[in-house]
Amino acid sequence: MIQKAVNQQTGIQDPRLISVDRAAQVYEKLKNFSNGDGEIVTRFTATWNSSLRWSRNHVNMGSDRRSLWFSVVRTTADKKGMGGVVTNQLDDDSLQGAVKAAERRMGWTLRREDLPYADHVMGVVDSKIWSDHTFNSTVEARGRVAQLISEKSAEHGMFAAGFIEVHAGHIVEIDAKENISSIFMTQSQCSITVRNPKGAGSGWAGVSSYDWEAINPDAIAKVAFDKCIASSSPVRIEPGRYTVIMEPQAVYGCIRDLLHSFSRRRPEDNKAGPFYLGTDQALGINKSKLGLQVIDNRITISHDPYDPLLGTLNASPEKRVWIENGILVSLDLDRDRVISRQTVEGYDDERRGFHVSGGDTSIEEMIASTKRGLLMTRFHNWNTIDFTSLLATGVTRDGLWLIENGAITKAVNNMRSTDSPLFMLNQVEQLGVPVPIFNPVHSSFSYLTPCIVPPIKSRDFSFTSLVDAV
Amino acid sequence: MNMFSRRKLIKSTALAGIGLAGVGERLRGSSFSHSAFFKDESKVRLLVNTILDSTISAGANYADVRLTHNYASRVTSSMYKDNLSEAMTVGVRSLVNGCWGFVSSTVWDNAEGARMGIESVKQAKLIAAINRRDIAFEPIPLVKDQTFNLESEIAPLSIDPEEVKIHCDALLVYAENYMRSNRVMMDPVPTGFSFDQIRQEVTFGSTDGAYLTQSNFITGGQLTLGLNDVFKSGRKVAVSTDIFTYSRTGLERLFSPQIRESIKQVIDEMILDVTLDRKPVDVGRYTVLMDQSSMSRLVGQSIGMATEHDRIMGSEANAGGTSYINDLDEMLGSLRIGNDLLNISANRTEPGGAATVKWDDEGVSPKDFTLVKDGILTGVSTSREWATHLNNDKSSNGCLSMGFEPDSVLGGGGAINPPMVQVPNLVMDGNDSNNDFDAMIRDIDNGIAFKGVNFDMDFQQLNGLGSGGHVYEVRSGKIVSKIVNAAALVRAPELWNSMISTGGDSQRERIGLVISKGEPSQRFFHSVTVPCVTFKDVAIIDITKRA
Repeated sequence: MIQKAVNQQTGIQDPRLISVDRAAQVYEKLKNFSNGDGEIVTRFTATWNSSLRWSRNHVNMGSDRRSLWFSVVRTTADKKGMGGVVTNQLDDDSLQGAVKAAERRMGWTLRREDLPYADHVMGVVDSKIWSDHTFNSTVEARGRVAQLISEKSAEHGMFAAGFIEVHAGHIVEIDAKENISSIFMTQSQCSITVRNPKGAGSGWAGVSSYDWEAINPDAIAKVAFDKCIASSSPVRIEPGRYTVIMEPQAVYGCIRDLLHSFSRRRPEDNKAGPFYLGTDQALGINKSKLGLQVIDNRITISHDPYDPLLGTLNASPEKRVWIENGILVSLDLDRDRVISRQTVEGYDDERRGFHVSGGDTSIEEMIASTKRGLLMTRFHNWNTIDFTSLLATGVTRDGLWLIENGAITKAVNNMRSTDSPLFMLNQVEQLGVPVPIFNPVHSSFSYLTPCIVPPIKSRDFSFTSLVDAV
Repeated sequence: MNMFSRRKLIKSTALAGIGLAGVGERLRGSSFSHSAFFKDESKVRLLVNTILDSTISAGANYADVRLTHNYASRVTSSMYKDNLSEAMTVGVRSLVNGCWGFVSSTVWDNAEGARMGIESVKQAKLIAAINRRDIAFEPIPLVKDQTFNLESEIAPLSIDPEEVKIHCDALLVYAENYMRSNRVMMDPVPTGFSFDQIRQEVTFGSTDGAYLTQSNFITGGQLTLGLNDVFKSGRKVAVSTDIFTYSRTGLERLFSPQIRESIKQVIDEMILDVTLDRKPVDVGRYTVLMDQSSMSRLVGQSIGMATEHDRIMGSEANAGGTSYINDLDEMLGSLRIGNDLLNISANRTEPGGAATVKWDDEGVSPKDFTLVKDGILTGVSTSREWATHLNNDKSSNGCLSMGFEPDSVLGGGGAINPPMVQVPNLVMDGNDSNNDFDAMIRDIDNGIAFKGVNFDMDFQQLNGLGSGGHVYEVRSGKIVSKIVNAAALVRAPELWNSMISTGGDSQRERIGLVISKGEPSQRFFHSVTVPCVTFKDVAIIDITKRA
């Protein structure tokens, strides 16, 4: 077998994660259990999670979870059909059963001859997605974090709740030619909410990163605590259009669907999406907004797989730029187009991060230069209503403050907002320094999608109604 | 529908009318994992005992263990999104001085089990060194050496999932033919389906001495129909139906004649819809009739989620949020959530309910209980741990559950993640009339009707937005036009206190819902059985209008 180490941690032998040797042994058995010709391909995903959860200043639970999944895919001898199953049992009887089940399903799914089985070549060598600090972090260290935060909150008569998790994964793919690709990844997350016991205030902060050392729980706790104090006893103000200063987490919440709209298929096939321009009746083709200014010219949205803050499992080693200085410069190609054009450049791989460029204005400077506006922490359930304009609606959460004449004057009730990231990004007044936001892996099957986003001050952002939830 | 499916469909059309009689052995699907544990119950018991013994030896005050075996299939309109998966998981909870340690794995093995037991106690002790919590479980009737197997006419995954897929494809062909017979066309996008079958066998043991095994299953998914009135108005309409709603029923639901009647009914309503003039929203307050589908989402969130005891106590504060019910000592028995028409009970016992079990995931036999009586909050969904915080009855009503993983593999979840309180099946009282949606429309002189509107409540389940679905103008007891971009802004107590009338109990519908909760996030299934309800003075807005 030819083994390709996608990142440098091939030496890891830890019972928490399946080893390459063990995966290769299993593959040999799968091969031996196969009947007839055709190919067999498998992919192992082993994960380890250790977490701590607390609420009301008490740690409820510490957990340690180890999971393993692997897919078994068989193709027919003529390579026209394929069938697969997913399982997690490694005993011989179960492996044989899995192969039989996959073979029973062969012929029910057409194998796409023009494509290799492996959807993606995994990973980028030296992409920063593994941290020994994360893998070796201890429950005791995490417990100390929770204890300090809870004690401080209790001293001040507040309730703290939070979640710290470290996660490690090992993916091993063995393709039809018996090539082995292996990649290790880690992620850690820390999020904390501090609430007033009477429900009169709430503050939140959170960060996720592949590297536990990059997370400063004390700083997160301080932000959450200070926001809770600052958001106490909010008052009502009239809904309307306000100049808004969005902290990076709020910006991400607002633009998330925009970041996932960079697919060429939507405008060109479906006449849909925010980048559909119209139909050229003479040529009979649908046109996109490529080459047009779509947002503020100070903003570039890109992905660099070698950026230490943007490590993902993405196949392509190429830097992607979708919007450059506000101009839509590229859209991603789906599999059909990649094959037909015989290129992997610009391949639509959802396993990627995003870097949204910014400026160097601090939030304090943004506040100081605002005559009247709102400062917000984040959104809750920002849901897109119309996928052409990306008009969406959601509710602010964990801190909304009124700014008057260059200073924060009062905490205000949360509000429902109805607006579009495209409108917001076309009404930018000031941009801050981009920072990593909280966007953790949500399950054993999620991919890393790190995002670097700046705080943004934008005018005429729409708040449509009051919400009295705190 | 792709051509591959059509070829298969033509081959099997002859089978459609006679069910699956005559299908050969090849199509009898079965679990493909053949662990030695499945053949020998004593191995399972030994594993459970090994784990529990290790927790006691390590110093646990209490411990319980769950072993799950999940077998799951998803078939969809797209062959590339189909999935067949099987998983075995094991999870151990240990309690030391009121603090939990939880360890889980996918390995059923005595040595691994002993490791997990010891590690779970170590985790609990580390937490207990940080803080102490006072938890004193109320004694429960021990379930000892009992087994329960949920039965059905056609057990999920007893036939090859590909046959299920063919049958679902046949239903789409039936729908298309019915549309054509009514001189409308099927709109290929967004028409489609996904249909899940999940079988789960759970073995539970505790240091109290409980030992039980239960086999359960759930089926359901999504069926979306699109219609294009190409010959007349040119309008299109799509309905995300509740025909494949989740429930703990077998595959007989898919093969019953009733399903075709349901499809016809939906299409008839869609045909009526495209004949209606479209009008913009006239913002204001209206009398609003909500159908069962809309009501299920509203009840599920503003009552069901709001009355989860752990959420009320703040355990979700850093995740999904809290509840407008925030002081049970004061509010239980006295908080007026709605008017006298609001009566909601909860259970995990109704046959076919998506949350129904014989025992919950800490061995408690679920009790039916009342959440809201005559508009007053009377109960919460709780577990042994959280019930200790109640003033009076400190016993669990059986709402602790393991969830499912939120992504991808259906067979995931189970014992891998720690169990938590989930929303049980909810049942809202109607009245003893036979009033259905059409009958209640006739009672509205000037108002609005909602069909299939989805409600999105805020992080305290307090303020919400009802949008999507289909909204109609009602005048003099008739639907006269369709209103575009309409949405409702609601606030739970005000809305529930503005109920005017409910539909008949006989016209209630049961809808299966999925809720995400927890850190890590898990999915939980439950049913809501509701009548249609008419409300007064509901704020209707244009959802597309910015301030």
